[in-house]
Amino acid sequence: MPRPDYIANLHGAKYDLRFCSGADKAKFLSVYRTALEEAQKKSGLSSSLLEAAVARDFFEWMKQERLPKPPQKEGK
Amino acid sequence: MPEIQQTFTDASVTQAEWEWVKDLIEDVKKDSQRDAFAQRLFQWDLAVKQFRKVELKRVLQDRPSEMDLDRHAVCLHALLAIGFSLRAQSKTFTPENLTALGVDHQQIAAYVIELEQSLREWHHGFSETELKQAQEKIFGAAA
Repeated sequence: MPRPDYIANLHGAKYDLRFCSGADKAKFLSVYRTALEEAQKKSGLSSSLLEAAVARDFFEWMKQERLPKPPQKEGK
Repeated sequence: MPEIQQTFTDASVTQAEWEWVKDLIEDVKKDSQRDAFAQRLFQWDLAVKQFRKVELKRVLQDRPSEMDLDRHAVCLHALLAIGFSLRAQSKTFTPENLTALGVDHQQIAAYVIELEQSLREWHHGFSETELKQAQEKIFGAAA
């Protein structure tokens, strides 16, 4: 199933938030919120429906991106 | 240099002594509270990390069973309850006190928000039909 760029971007922001160090959580949370806002605008869906609708796609994206490990660099 | 003579009445000395002891006790109480907070925070952090590992295996990597989702919800709610309490408690400490523990208030708040995000993703009130329609709108448009 094709994935729009804004969803890939949202998954990327979620991945960074999930696997970053505790000290970077607040920074990556801000990045995630921006990505979610952008995805919300582009999809025309509410943020909560959007998050629920793409939750299962997150791991598919991880596999496709071959990202089993946490990012090593800040601001990946 | 002229010597400054300080005169104390018996009453003022007694009061100062009591204030000094009271301050010492307050310091001990604050230290105890901070230690207890730190211990709870680190245990919670460890529990969140273990939860994420099991979540990855049981919920993300495969289609979760009903039992997996039930347990996931129970764990999330439990972690959130502690997280809310820690977030509120963290406000009672100075930034310096938190820095000494290697955390800050925003960091704890971000952990809590991330758990809330998981709750919205997996334990929402949307029907399967609503989800499918949303997925078609998102992924169908990219086709």
